Amino acid sequence: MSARPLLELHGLDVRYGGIQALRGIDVTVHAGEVVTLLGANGAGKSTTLRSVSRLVDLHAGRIVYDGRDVTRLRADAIVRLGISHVPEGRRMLSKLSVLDNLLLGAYTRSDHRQIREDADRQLRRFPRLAERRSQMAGTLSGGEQQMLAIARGLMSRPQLLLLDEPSLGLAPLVVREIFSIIRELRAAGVTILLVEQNANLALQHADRGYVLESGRIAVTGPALELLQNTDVRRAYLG
Amino acid sequence: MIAVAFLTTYGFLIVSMTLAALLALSLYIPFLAGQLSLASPGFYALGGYIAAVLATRVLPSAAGSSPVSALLLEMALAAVASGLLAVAVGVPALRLRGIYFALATIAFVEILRVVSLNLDITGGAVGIFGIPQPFASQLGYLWIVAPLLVGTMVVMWRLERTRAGRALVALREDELAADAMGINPTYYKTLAFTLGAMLAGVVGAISAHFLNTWNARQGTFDASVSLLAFVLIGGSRTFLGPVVGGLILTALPEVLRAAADIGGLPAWIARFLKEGRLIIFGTLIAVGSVFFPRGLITPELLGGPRHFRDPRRGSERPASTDGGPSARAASVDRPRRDAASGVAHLAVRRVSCRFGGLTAVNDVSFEVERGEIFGIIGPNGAGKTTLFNVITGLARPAGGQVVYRGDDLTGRPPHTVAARGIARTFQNIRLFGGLSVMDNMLIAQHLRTKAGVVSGALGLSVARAEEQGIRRRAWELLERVGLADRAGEAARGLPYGDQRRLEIARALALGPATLLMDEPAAGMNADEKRELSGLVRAIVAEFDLTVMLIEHHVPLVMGLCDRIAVLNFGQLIDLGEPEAVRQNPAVVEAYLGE
Amino acid sequence: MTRTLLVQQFLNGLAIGSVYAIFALGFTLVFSILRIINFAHGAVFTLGAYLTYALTGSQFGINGLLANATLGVRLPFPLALIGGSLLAGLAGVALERVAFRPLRARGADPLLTLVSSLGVAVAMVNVMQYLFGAEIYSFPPRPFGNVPPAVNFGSEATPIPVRSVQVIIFLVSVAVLAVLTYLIHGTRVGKALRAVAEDPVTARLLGINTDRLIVFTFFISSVLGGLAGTLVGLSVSIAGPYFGIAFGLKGLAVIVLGGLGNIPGTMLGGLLIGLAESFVPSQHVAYRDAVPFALLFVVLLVRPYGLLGEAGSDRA
Repeated sequence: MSARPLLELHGLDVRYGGIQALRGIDVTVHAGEVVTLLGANGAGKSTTLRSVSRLVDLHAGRIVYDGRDVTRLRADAIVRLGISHVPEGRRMLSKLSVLDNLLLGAYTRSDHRQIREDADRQLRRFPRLAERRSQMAGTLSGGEQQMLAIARGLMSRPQLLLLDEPSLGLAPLVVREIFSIIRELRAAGVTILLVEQNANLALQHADRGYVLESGRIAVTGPALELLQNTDVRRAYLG
Repeated sequence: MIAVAFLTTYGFLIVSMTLAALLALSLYIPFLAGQLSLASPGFYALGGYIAAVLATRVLPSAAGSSPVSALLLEMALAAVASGLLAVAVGVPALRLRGIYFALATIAFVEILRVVSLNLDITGGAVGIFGIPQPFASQLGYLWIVAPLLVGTMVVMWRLERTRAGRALVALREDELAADAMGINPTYYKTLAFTLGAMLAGVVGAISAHFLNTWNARQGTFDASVSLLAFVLIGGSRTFLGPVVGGLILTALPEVLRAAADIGGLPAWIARFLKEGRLIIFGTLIAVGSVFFPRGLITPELLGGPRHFRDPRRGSERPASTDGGPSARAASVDRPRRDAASGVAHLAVRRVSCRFGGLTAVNDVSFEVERGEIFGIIGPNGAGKTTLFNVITGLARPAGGQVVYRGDDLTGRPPHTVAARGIARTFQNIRLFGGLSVMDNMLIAQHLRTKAGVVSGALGLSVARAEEQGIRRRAWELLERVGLADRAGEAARGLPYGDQRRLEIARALALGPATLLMDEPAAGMNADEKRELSGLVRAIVAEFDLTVMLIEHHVPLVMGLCDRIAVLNFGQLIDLGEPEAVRQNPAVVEAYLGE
Repeated sequence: MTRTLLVQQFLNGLAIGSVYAIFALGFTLVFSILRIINFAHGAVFTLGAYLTYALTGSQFGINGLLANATLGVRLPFPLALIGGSLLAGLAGVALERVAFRPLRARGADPLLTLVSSLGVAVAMVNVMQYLFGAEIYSFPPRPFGNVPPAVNFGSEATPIPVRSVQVIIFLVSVAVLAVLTYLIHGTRVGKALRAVAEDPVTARLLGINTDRLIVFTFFISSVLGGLAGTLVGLSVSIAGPYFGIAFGLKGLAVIVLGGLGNIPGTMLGGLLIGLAESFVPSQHVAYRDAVPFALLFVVLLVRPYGLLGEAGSDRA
């Protein structure tokens, strides 16, 4: 692990609709790590990811990526820096084909031949997607859409992958498949910031974790410790 | 003498200005309910044709003049015809939202125009001319139009302060929330549309005489644009706006024309002043919509929200309010459950609901007992809000039944559900943000009063008594939740916690037997959550309520609820008392994963 | 005899229908990406016609401020057509910057934007009237040089003449529609457009610069509008600036019929309305103008999401 963190969030403060969603969030992610954000619904996990990808404005705080302050950048600039956000609910472009969705994932790149090769590689890794490459993305099942979303997120060759609730609404078998992909990515050296409601599964695949409660960080530490921590359970079930 | 000379010279202009103000009001009335209707020119043309045809062919007239009574008769007929046509066209068209409805009204005007260009009775392209005059001079028309304008303004003024007017404004602010408060959208939107149409028709009848000729050029899209300018520039949030807009923007071209005649101006400026009326209107609309979206005359300009400027001052607020007895008495006018009948308070039977290809609620069944606090929890996307939507009529179930105190409420619209005694609060607060706290409370009592448009507008004593009653009750409820000091403020300006409390107070104002609360604690800190718990327990006791509560913050639910249902993937996975539910491994797994 | 008439009506209907389709696509492109109706499109339609007229070196009449003025150049018609359309495109870009972006920045309601664009349209059209006058202008005769004035679609024995202008208009329109379809489906930009139209949030997450794409959309949309205006001016004449507003209203009928925001639907709608108008029997020809609006009204009542639209897309 390098000395300087890849991503640092300092004192993030996000408000919308009169609600204070984040109250001073501090998170660090080192290159090659898998860090997971946990917590009950409404705790601010997705909001944290959305602040990084600039879908949401910060009321206060700083975001530093690879040593550079990126707090004021626009969403498309963030993607060009190498951060890719796979959003909650997958958000397929349902009227475009599977292949088109993949190609659009590489929108910020201009090396067309490499893009094609990358697309082929993704399709080889996800044979179910390859079968359906010309089908409209809206016709895919939930699990297939999640795979496509992750593959699409990887098409920009990101350094940092933001994964938002990949297991949402998926059957347990499919969830297992998705998490094996996350294992592969981790082995390949992709840095991942993972938001998950399924705390046990997330902690089994992460290096470190943060538990959020009402917009604040309640607990943080190595994943193995958190797995045994009763505070984690309390944050969810009281 | 000078005044008389002035009036005579400018008689035509003054009457035109007044007619324009009235037409602007005819567009404003549907706009009150949030409908952008560009249909007024169509009804205006219709009214004019009715008057023209009757005056030239049917009614007796002597040498170019006709009695005033004939004009009044024509006005009445024009109103009736416009009203009927408006209902015929409006009922189907008003199902359309926003842009679609506006387009339908544009189409309506165009169709009428082309038809009138081609019928014999309307004189085809040439039109009808030589329409007899009931008055010797043009100024004489003021005898009709001035009282009409003043009368309409008075009615509008009263309307905005009474039940019907509030219902319209509520629809404009948030149609869904208004529906959930018991206001029937179709009825009120059609009412507003029809009233506007009738006014336009009457103005048309007068104008036909006033202008002496009438043809298809009277009912065109251009006219819609001018009317829009009057309302948008004059002010779209108060009835004075369209009046001022109509008066000023009709006089403006004349002023410009006069200015053009001042010597010494270069030719192109003079020409612009004379012919540039529409350039100016168009630019004003475009610029105004960016910088002054609510127009010149705004409610703030007129001194802010009415009535509640200082709640502590004077007669509005009752000297002593104790939130207890009278509030309770006021809300308990529903039959108590017959304990022996065994009819469940609320029964959800095998309800399923699908949307977007997902089965959001899958074969859910449970019963809620009278007087209990019933919690619903579950991970994100489990179908909780959808379930609420099915119960309150915002969503149609694909299968199953919702039975409330023995009545089958399945698939009934929200205002019907509200009428039966179910109130709700929303996950994303749905207050009538632009209206005052007090107005929110008054609107919520729509179902507890009966005054219609007529009795409200005329200020009949029945309406007055009802108004007093609901105001008193509103004060009591506001006191109860601690918002009485803010009665005059706009709802959207309240701090978040206060907004939540207002939503609860508003739901109570409905006088429900059952209250559904969707994530009432969202965004609250620990103290606020405790306060909320206390409030919920208290109101259940005071108002004899049954409460259903969706919450993500599980500790809150555990402490507050008598029983809890757990949903996951749209299915009911557990139902029971808090301690049991918390220990259930299936529930733990749903939340934490395996 | 009747067959001749039918064929002529059919072909004329196709010609005018294809122009309706081109014009209405301008509405559709902007609606699909911004969910707003741009009424100023009708004004751009008129502007395109006037610009092309000026570029052919023709003279303006005596009524406007620019009485008897001519532009220094005299371009052959095809070049003037392209030039006029491109200039109209630039006008659209300027409009977006000046009128629509401020509204978007303020999060304005789509209805407010519609009304604002109406104001812009009325102002623009009247400025044109002020400058050019309200007379009817016609393009110079024989705009395409040596092409014969009519084409025979029948035989020697039973000739079915159709004006060459109509044929050329149809061919130009079809070519433009084909290019547009390729643009939308085959190019990276087109896919990005479709992405933004479906889900602007996801599009941003993919690194798409939505603001630039919006400007591009307005450009294409206005080029289409200006082109349509010129083609109609060629087919009939430039009947005064207000013609754009009337045409604009018909364009609305087309897009509602096809389904708001639906590109193939718009093309289909344009052709259908063109054909419907063309087949109005001669004794009722005066009602021809009401046909699009009658269709519009019926569609709104019966199937508001249009022929090819998705059920439920009319619910806000």
